[in-house]
Amino acid sequence: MKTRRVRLGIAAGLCAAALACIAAGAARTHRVLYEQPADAEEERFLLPGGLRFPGMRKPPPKIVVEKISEAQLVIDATFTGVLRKGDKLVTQYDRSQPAGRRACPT
Amino acid sequence: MQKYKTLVQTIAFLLLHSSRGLEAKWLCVPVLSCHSCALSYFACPIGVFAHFAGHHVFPLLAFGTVLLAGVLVGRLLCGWVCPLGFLQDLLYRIKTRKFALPAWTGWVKYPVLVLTVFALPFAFGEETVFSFCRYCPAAGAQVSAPAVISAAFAEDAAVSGWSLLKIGILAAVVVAAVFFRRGFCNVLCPIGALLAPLNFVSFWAVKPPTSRCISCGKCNRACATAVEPSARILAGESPSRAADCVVCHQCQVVCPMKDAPGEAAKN
Repeated sequence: MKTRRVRLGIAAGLCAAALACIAAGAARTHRVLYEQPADAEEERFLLPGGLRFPGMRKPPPKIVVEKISEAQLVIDATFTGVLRKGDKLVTQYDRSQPAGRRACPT
Repeated sequence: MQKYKTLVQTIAFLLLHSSRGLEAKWLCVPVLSCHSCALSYFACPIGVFAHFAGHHVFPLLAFGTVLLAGVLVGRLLCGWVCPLGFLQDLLYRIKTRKFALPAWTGWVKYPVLVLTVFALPFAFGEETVFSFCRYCPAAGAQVSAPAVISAAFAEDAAVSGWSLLKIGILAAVVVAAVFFRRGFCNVLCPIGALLAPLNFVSFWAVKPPTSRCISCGKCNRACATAVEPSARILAGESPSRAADCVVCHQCQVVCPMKDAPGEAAKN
């Protein structure tokens, strides 16, 4: 009987810890760098056979800092969609695509 | 019971892998099913843990979900929902000579969990070649095999060595499943290693089928993971309070004493 009570106590404690983790995870946000692709207008000049001026280089991607929820980070982490570079997280996803239709970057 | 279990496993398999765009990949379901599969609804906790270890971020949401599932039902999901467990159960039905794994092999899955899911991705990043995802047989079945098959029909598609390695590991798991009862679950499964300690405290437990065990050994032979439930039943303990038990309830079903006078009412 005592063993059963101890077991129930441990289970209840772990259950409470699990719920606390879920609540904290649901509330937590992460700062993630997102490399926005260059504008379509700028990209037009870089297409094979497109207009190209001497000395013209590919425009650098715009880097945007996003605050995303932990749930979003779990989604982005699938397919290795987020990488750690230095001490920052960088997402590789094309976020313009709807969820479920994103291409796997790997 | 066996029929119900197969039915539940079939339904679970179809429900877990029937997404056509709709997904809830923020939610981890503690079974070995690759979230990279286009048909998956949910995330794999092992993949999430390995990626988050590489990110140096503690996965509160995934950890909480797995812990909650483990405390509520122990390894019930391994026995009744996991698609790789289902595949192994089906393959073990092939009539051939069967073998038992040495007991020490049950300890291998713990270093596999610690090293390939947490420590090495933490040290070398989420894309490390030491990550469990690189060798996962579920990923081999759900992602690599379809990719290799589609590459065979495409003109310029290339097949990576990793895909072939995963398919090779999947083939080894498939062959082993014919001879060893749930060999992968017992020896290598990191989700099994995560949930195993929670079997000791989970709310869901298999009741001892009888208080008058005659040590006939039927439960030991029926056990899906060779945890020898008879010793626990004899001691009046729940047979599912063993780390490797997948809570299939088969020991309860086959017990010849469960319907003995005085026992039927208890059960």
